[in-house]
Amino acid sequence: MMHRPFTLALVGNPNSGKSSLFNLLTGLRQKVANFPGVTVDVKVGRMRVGTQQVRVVDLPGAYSLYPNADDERVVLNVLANPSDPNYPDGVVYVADLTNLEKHLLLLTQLRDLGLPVILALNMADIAWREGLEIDEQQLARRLGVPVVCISAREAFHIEELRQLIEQMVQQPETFRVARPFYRLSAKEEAVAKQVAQVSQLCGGDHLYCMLLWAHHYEELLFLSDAQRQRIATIVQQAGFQSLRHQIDETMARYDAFLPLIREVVKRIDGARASLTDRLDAVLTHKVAGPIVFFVIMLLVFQAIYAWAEVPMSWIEHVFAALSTTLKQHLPKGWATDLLTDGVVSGLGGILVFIPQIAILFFLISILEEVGYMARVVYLFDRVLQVFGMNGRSIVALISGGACAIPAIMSTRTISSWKERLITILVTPFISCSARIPVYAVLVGFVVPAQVSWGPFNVQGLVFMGLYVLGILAALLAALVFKYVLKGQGNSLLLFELPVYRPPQWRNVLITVYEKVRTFVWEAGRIIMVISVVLWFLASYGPSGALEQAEQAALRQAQMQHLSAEQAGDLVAAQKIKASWAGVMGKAIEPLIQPLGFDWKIGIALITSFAAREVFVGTMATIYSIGSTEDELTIREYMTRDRRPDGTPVFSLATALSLLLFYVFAMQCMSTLAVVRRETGSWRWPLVQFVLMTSVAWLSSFAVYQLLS
Amino acid sequence: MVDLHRTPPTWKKGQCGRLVRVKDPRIASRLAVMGILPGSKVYVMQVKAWRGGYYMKIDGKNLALRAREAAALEIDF
Repeated sequence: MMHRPFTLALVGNPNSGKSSLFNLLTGLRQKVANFPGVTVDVKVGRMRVGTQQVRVVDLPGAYSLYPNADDERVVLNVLANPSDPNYPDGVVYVADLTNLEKHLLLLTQLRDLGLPVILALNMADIAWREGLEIDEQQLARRLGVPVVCISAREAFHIEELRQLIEQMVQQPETFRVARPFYRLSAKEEAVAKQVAQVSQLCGGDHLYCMLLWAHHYEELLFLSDAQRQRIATIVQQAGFQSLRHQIDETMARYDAFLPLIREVVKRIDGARASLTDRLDAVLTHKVAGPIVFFVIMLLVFQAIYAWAEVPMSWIEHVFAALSTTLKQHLPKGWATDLLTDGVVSGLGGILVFIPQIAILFFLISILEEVGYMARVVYLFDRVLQVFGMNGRSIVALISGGACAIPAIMSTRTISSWKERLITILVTPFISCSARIPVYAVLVGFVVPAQVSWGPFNVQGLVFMGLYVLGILAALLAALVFKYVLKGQGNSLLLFELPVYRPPQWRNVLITVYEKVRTFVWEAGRIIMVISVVLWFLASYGPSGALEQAEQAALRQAQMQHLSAEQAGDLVAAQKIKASWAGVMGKAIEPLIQPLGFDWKIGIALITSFAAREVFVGTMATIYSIGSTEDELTIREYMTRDRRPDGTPVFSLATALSLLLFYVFAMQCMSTLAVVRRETGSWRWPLVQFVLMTSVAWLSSFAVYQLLS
Repeated sequence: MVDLHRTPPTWKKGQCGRLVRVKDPRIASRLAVMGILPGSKVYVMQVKAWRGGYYMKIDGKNLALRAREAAALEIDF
């Protein structure tokens, strides 16, 4: 067998502070590991113990080895399979000392699996502040495992834990407990022994592992179909009632350790719990709760817009300057163009999103850390269930108003795959900040700025209407997906609302770092490739066409005595019209003509696939005003544009039709790249693209045909 | 399995009592692993509009339940 580093698993209930301990032990030496068939994040990191490297696996939080959700399925699949690459050589079991009687069930199960275990009693600081006393030695003696009181948040007694881990790495055998905590009933034992004959992995000494196989053979992904079939037969023939036995076993375990805990822990009622109750009286109130939530979200958005603006424009300037400098110092030619207009602007297009993503996740993870997000899930679960989503979807839907990319990344907290997928698929319908410049240019064609209805400015109302349309489309699409998609949507919710506590900045910063890194590496690569392709389409054309267009434009500029800047704009306009993008614009004209769009709009539709806001820049280039980015000037030029028959290109009908197109269409390659990453295949981004483009096309078609 | 048509319970905010039994085995096992067993002390913290969900304190643990899940709990108030 190949030598592998000692694998240490961190196991514990949700909210036991396991992830904080993981961050503390591994620092930034961690990455997310992929587990086949599930979407649950499992982090793997490294720590140094004495002279040895230890691999640390942070398994998802679980209450027991009877899985009820995807995270618990991962835990079971690792711990019930000694050949799993992540199967631990030892376990640190993290339990919340302030709530010990609810945290020990899984520990007793791990013990019975024959795993070397250390019990780390976390949140000792809080427990002691609240006057909780514990007799560690007595607990260790009675459970048969070493016990250490720690506080992951205060980095308290971590050195003691490290020393115990070092001992375990050197002599894992001494950390195993031979006598089982739970004695199998006669029937359980008989079934387990029969299952042991099916398995090639565990011998008869791991009877409890075999009992788990008998309970959960349908959920153990590592079993072959033949093994699963044989276990099913054994279970059926024995008349083994899995649920009944699970409940009996759970009760027996509790009966055994509850008296023990009463003996070793002396508690006085905590002040923290009563503070939580007082806060929750408002924060989860059926009327006040949602109001507080919307106020908080309003503040979050204000923060995103207010704080992200400066770094975003700073990033844009740096990349514009970099591009100009490179152009000045490198020899003219396609390689320089590719570098400046393709690679550098593509890179700028990726990095410009970082401030928004970082700020959004900074704020959301603070809300998560203090325990507020669990309340939000409770508040919105019922409403969103109607649309096939779940309480956690609210975060994505609201973040979508800033940018769909971080919004889609935030859906990982949704444990039901169907509810998560629906949320991912409909979030891009929510109008994001990149649509604002497009709306701003086009709204002027629909209603003049000065028109008002009583106190309301009509342009403002149209703006709001566009947002409402996006929200309605998202909900409607979700409803359709709810009925079309297969799979169990309505999982059990039944979750714990943790006690409010101050955020741990280390965890917040690690979350921000991870999200930004994931975005830059995973989505960034795809965005980069598409940027280069778009650059190629806009800079190259059928042979000779670009040169001819440039010559013609220069001649025209000479005849009209244009300034150097105006001549440059004219050349750019003629070149983009002759480029492959122009050719494609003309090629798709028959498709978009029924919507009232001409081939020039076609070019802008193609280039703005990179990101919606590119529409404005492309229109500026086409109308030879590339060097100004003033929305009013662009709108003026668009108003003057005429079709061959003399009618204006931008009538009310066209403008409305184009607005609707931008409300609904999936004009954002970054989002598609992120959806691919989050769903693991191109299938769902494709479904999303086809659906959104169809909705956009049909609604634009209907509006244009009705109004023109 | 969960009965989809079961009516949500008519508990009111502020009521307290003891858990008698859990009628749905799936929910019973879920609660049992969280340490919530018959005899646990139950306090209704919040009831959502149209009885769309419940926020309960059971044996000192704060829990959010959907209406269908709450319907499986038999509580002696």
